[in-house]
Amino acid sequence: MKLTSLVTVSCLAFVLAIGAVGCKKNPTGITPLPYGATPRGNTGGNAFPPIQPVTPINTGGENGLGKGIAGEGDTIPMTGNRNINDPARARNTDQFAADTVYFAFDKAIVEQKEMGKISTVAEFIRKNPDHDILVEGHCDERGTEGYNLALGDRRALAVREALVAAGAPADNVHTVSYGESRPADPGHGQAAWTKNRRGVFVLVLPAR
Amino acid sequence: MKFVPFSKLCLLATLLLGSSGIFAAEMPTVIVNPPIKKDFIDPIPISVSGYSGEVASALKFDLESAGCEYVSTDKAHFLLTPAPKNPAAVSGLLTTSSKNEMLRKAYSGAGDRALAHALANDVILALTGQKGVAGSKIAFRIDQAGNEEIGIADCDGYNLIAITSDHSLTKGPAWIPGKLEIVYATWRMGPPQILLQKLASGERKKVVGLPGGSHSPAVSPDGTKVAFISPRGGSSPDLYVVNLDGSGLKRLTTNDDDESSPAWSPDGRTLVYSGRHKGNSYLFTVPSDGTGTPGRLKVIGVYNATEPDWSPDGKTIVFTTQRGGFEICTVPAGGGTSTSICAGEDPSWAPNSRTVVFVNRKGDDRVLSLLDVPTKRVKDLRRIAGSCSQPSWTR
Repeated sequence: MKLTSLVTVSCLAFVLAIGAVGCKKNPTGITPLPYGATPRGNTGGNAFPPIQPVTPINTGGENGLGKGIAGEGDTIPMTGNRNINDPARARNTDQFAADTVYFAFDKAIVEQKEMGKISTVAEFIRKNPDHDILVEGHCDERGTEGYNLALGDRRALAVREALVAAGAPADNVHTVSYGESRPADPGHGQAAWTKNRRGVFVLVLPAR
Repeated sequence: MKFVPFSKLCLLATLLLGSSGIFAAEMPTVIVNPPIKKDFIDPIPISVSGYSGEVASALKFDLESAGCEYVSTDKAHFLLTPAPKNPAAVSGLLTTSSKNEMLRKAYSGAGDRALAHALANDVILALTGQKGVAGSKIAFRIDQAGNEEIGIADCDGYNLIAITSDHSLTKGPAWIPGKLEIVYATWRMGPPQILLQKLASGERKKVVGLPGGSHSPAVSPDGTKVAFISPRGGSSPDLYVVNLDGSGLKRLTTNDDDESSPAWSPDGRTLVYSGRHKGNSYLFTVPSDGTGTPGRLKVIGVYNATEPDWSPDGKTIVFTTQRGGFEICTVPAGGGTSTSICAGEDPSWAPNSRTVVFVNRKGDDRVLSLLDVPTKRVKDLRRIAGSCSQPSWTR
């Protein structure tokens, strides 16, 4: 286990080093990122205490939901009754790959032309209530990062609302915002942006 | 629970007070009142000579980012040279152009850059009466090939350390004031959860993870609470506050305004955030204890405001606006006319309520720069490989 992580770290360091040297776009004098490869205590003489490797994260379920915090404007609040973060539950990103929903610039409205996709997904989840759907909300890069995280939330929620309206059980539909961090197309023009403003369906299978 | 030795606590305390265990020998100096007001808006003309290598470059970055302008001796109002006949690695003799001595000090016990930062901070203190921020730490998000991790570095970009290596998305670092602890959101387990990480031990624990995710954390000035954004309500993202131990969850907004990027007032009573209303983004404030309703902050001169940060002295809110490109703007904390300062986004105040660290887009990458708000001077940090954003200055 320890050896594996050491090898991984060394490989990463090597790849990063190559990246830093080999990429001609990088001006000289850029600090490569020392992903665990540098002794974390050595900060070049500046008296900063040693930074220890991080502990593994507790992958348990969701926190307490804080009863009584429902708001007046809530349409379909999320209960967290179904745990989609269970490591025993596999995820399938291919099943609804053709059903990705696209959005207009700076909008979080599911357009009429996307409703066929919504019906497909809603129908499936209605017939397979032991499965769950995770809706990913994505944005193009034109807003600020903080704004785009909220916009991604809003898009995923709009898709969720449409799924529930089309008959999907609310507890089986979950959302996550990726903001602008997971573009489908890494380009910087209209063509790329159009593909990046989207809601993606991930199918979460029952526990094995 | 690990026992923390007292010596370590002392080290932490020293660090947080801004010094780095550096030994500074003070020599007799004629005391002169600071000749420059701390909120000066014209760059301070200073001549600096006799330094070389890392000391010279660190000193130049520190003084220029604090609002000084390097000029020739004949144009300078102040002169800085090494103290004559002093064997220490770094020393400084600061005088006015009329040879009144303002500072004479020698430094040893750390690396060249750290000693230069200590000298720069003493020079700024002697010139303006205000503590400098040279060598203090920032945390930020680093993106390399789609993996986002949290990095920390000196505010000139040196001494970089990656504090996570989760190979996932990790966003929005924020320091717990007065502690070597950082909260951030991680997508490692699915919808984002907010974690607290102790830098000295590497220990991590979950603060909050609501269904749909919790992100954009901001830590209260007393270090006991985190404000954050979650879509848990089901119709739009909203603003919540929770204690650092995960208890006492409160929801502060229930409307459809797509809240984002909260920040605390220095007295901890109010939160400022960005909300979207009828297609435009505005700044709103709301009491942090959940007793009141949000009110729009009057910002004259822009129609689009996101990513606010409240200055530690309470006077000014800095934020991002978008008209064509992104711009850093300020507005008085009570509302009023906005001032556009420079191109850039996602600003974070330094403890001196004068310097701001912010983000610039350069090609595929995002890079960090410092802004001295009153003089509008910008200095780029040393480049760090990959794309850096969401900076947060130690408080």
